[in-house]
Amino acid sequence: MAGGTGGRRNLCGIWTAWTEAASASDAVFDITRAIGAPPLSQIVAFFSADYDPEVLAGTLATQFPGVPVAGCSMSGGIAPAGGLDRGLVVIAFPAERFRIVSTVLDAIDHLDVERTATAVRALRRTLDPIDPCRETDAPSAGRRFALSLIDGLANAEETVVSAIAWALDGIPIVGGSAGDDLRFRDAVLLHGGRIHRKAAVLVLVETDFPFEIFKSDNFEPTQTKFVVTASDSERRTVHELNAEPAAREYAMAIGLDPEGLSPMSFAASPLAVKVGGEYFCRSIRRMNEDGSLSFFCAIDEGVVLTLAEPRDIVASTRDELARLDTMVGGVDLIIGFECVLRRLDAESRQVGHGIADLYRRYNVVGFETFGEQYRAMHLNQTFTGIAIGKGAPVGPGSGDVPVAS
Amino acid sequence: MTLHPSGLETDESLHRRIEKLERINAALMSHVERSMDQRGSAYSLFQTAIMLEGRVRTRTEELTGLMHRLERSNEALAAAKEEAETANRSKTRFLAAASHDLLQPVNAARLSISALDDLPLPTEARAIAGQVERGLQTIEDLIKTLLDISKLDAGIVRPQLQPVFLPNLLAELAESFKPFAERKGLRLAVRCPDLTVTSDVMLLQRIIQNLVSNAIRYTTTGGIVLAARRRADGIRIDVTDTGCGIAADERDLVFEEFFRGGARTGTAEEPGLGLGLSIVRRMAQALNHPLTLASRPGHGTRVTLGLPLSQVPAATAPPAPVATRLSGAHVLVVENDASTADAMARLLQNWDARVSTFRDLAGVQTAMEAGAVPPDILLLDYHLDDGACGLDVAAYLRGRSARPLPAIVTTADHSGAIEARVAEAGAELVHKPIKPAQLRSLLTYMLA
Repeated sequence: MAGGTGGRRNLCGIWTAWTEAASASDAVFDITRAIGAPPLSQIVAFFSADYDPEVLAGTLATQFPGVPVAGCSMSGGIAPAGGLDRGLVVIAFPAERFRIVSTVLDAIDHLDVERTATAVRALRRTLDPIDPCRETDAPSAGRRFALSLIDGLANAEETVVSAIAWALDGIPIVGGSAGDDLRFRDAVLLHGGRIHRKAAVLVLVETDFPFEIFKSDNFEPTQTKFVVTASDSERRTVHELNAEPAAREYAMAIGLDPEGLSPMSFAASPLAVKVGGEYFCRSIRRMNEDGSLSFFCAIDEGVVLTLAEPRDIVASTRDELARLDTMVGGVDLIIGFECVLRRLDAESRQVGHGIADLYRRYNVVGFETFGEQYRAMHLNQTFTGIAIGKGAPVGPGSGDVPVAS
Repeated sequence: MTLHPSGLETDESLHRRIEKLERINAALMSHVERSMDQRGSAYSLFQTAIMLEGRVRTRTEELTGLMHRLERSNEALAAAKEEAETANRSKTRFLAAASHDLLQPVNAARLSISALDDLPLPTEARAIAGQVERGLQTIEDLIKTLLDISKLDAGIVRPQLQPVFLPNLLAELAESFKPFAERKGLRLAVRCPDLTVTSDVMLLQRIIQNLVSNAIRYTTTGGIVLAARRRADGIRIDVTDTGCGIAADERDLVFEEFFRGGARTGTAEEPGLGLGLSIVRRMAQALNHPLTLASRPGHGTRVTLGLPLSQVPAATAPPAPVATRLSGAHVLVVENDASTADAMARLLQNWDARVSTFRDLAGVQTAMEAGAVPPDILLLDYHLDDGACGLDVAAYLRGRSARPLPAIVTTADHSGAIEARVAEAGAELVHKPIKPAQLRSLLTYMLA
């Protein structure tokens, strides 16, 4: 496990800091000590669900006056020092060479796609140059990316990320679903100094540092298939698989008693759907008392689910990180969103230290999610994120990039 | 033996039914997997996102593949082009070398013929010598023209476009052709307003030279008019003659190599090489100047060259000198006898050469170290003061430059030893007294 508190100033100027402090206010004080008071354009925070979010928001506002804060509750933190069962992870973007804007989308369980897209487009325009005579898209092309944080208990990520991706029109987006450890009761979002529920936060970043978004998974399909024969799409709940009670059918297929099903078994035996010739995990969130299964993602009747089994998670992660290292000319840091079930599986297979070594080597910060976003897709059982390179800034006029106030 | 409530189905038929159901189920499964939900549910959004992502990836892969293919075919094209250029270059090198080798014996023959001039010969013999001399002259011109054509074809000659003030150019050309025209009793008139065109002065000059020379050759009475006019789309230069004309079926052929007009001029005049118009066509193409021909057999021919009008005013365009191979060449003369050196310098300057004269090696060394321009050719006296040898100057200057430096050694000493030493140094030997015509042709040849 990670050791208490830590911080790091990355070559691109981004500060990362983490703590396992017991309370929200102590956590923010730890972070303040680690970072100091440099000029910042944005703070992104991932925090334990058992911290008082109001206290956290208030303390961050007083400790970093005038700095916008976006954040969400998590199911565990990722820091270069190792995984955090509980605590606070902070990514502090410097004012220099990072122009950042953000917005919050409320009531995502009744999302109006048009209105959401309009809001996101408006946000995008605030990053555009003021002078309309200048070429609008060319200078910013390839220099922007977006981070999404979405309530993982509102059953709405597919709609939200579709609307956002549509409005972003090609700007790469990655993100994670906010969680609450594995209690499945209350995930919270933080934006503008306030707490939001059933909400999503979008952070839009413009920088001349090289970056690359990614997604990595580590499972392969087996021959075992299920047809969803009864489900409640609104609640992402599957009542029947192959015309049998869902939990029982699934448990029998993996050789367990329905009573023995746990997040560990969902992690070790994920279900996947095949779309466009490729398999995508549809992770089970929990078994319900009525013998149905709830999912971390949209599900529908008639969908064919294939039982999958994890491959070597360390090797697949190592390959992906090495590829990123080449792509961005040396990884400076990675902001990562990893499915909480992936970590559970890695730990049960005793390969958690292998993953931790990789995350230390590539300076991964982020959180354990209830789902991952990658471009317009909402995924499960993956590791998505963005790698920022320490290489020379890309594009012309590198020395005199306008900075955010 | 359990009985179905209907009381009809056996164990075996139940198994069959299960099997059937399984197969139907499997078919359904694959069908569902293939089909795409269109109902706009959250799940279909997910599917749509994946499909879009997949499509973007497929397109990217397609484009990447296409790009690689283009890169490969570009490489292949570049290689083919390189190969073609190499072949062209080696053809040109071969032609240049062959021309050089051919010119050498021709030149030697011409020198021998010129030696006949000094001998007391009967008139008949002198006439024969004159014919041989003209024949050799023709061969030499032919070889040089072939070399020019190969250079044009190989793209070695690259036009250097600049403003050219036409009146001076045309007047000078007409002047140089006047004796030939007068000899045939032809008028040669120039009509040219103050026009400046954009062209390469050397190439343009040679185009018009060839056209005028051709016009004179095929005209027996009347004359030739060399006229420049301004037109809406630029400038046109017409070379119009009152010659024999070109039959319609021959008009496309006149620009081919070695084509000669069927109608002879009937005089004892030397025949044309048949290369003039072919080289004109190549040069006009290189300059992108359109070339057109109009002719009435028995009445005359008009060849028209189109040129772009220069935007630069005429005053800034300097008149161009008529160039020969010797004109502009830098000849370094080392001669210890002051009056000989002086005469030599004057002679060379008359041929438009630039001349520097020195008394000895020391003088040359001083000049070179002071940054003097290296010469194109050397004219060295063999015996210098204090027992020094002119070849030492050649050795010194050749040591300073990577490019070959031709040298002519002059001497009154006819001994075989000197001849051997000069040959060994790769230089040409000319015995004194020097005959100007012989020296000029040798210089021209060695500079070619």
